Amino acid sequence: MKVDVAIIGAGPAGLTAAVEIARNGLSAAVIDEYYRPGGRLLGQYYEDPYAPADQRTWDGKKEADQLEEKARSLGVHIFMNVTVWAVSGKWRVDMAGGDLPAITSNVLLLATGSVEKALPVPGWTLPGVISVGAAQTFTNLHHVAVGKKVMMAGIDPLSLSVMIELKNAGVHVAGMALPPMSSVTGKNKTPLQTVERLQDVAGLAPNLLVRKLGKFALKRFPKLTASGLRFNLLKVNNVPIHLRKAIVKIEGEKNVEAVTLQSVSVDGKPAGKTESVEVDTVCLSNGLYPLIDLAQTAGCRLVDMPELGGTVPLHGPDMTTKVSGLFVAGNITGIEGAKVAMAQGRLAAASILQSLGKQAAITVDEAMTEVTNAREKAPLRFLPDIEEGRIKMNKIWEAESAHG
Amino acid sequence: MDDMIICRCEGVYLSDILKAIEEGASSVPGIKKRVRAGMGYCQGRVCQPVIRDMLESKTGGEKMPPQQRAQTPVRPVLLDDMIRR
Repeated sequence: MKVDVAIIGAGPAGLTAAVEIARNGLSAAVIDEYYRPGGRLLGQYYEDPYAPADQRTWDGKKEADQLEEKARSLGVHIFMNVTVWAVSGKWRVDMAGGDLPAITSNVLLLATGSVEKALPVPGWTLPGVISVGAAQTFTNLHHVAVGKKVMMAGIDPLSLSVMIELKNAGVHVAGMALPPMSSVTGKNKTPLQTVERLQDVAGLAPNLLVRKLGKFALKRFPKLTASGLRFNLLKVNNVPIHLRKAIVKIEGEKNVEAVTLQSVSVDGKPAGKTESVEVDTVCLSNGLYPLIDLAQTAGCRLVDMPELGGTVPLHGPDMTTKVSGLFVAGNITGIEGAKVAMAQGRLAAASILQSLGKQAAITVDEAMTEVTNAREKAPLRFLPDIEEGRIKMNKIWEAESAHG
Repeated sequence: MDDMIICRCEGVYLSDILKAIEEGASSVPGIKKRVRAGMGYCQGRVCQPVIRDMLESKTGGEKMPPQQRAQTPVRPVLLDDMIRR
């Protein structure tokens, strides 16, 4: 099969780009490893206070279904349960798991998204330990209870949301604790940094967090830092949030049986006392990082940019790369929410159409403004310095372009 | 200190990686060549960020420690699928 544009990743960025490309008269194919289109959209369900009145509830599954339907009605070829294991030439996409061994295209769009970052704790390889993203997918997509009694490690916007979703689904959450402090496996956030981050989030999206956490909890965040975190324990939806305790060990013979928590000082130093809490499931949350392996094999230069969540392909503000015919969109360019990914998908499509000499319904400039708007209105910001990261990337891009 | 697996695919322990760092490894490929971390099924998708953090906290240089290069095939693939190519 030959298409104008091959898109890898059927998440919000990839599907939106496919719709835009097909709508403007070019052929597109979307390929994804998962069995169902939508990517991370599939696990999302929340209220967005900044959305128009009739779109306040963000039902990711519904969004995914609508995008898929739109794409299919426009003739986009969607390959699910298919793994791309190589990209080469300009372009050949090698696939495994489906009927077709490969497709060829003039343009390649990488919308491969992000992966969860592991959080190693002694005992983290025991059955019963899962990542927060897995917990979200099990709960919201598959309606499967992840356990009878769950401890969560890592206190951040995502894990707090998932905790509430678990509670709503009737799962007993025994508590949330910090990741191991000053561990050999890397620096994790101290109690103070954790609270500051939560305050940052609360300031950005008051309505969302008020709905999620309740007014009472939110009001206490500023007080927590002011008082040097003297309130060690915060309860959200009746779940104890241990802001001064870190998980140090997960115990069990064949499965998770308990976790060991240790008190820590405000700046993350162990402060003696440990306790054991009986649980059968541990849910680890350590953020996301961009999945860039295909970009690297396609010859794209990579840039380390912690502000964007890790290592990202060098790309311009219009989603182009230095490799001709190669474009990127979505979380591969930095960790942000689904609406930003969708706007980036539309932008990538506009840039692709322009590069092929096609008139698009939306100009590249208009699409770039839409990305900025989506970023400003994002109900949740995953990385505090995302805007700084975007500016830095643009500067590197400009410098590289000046050199030719 | 409690030991634990860091590279789940190849069963490489934290102590193996710390030893490799002591022996002079200063990059993810350096660790990989010594102890096989990142050489398994997932090709370092799980352990590479962790190992990089470990290297950074141990060596603490200005630049982030070098990563391994993604190679084709980027996912496990049957020889049959490669031959069909």
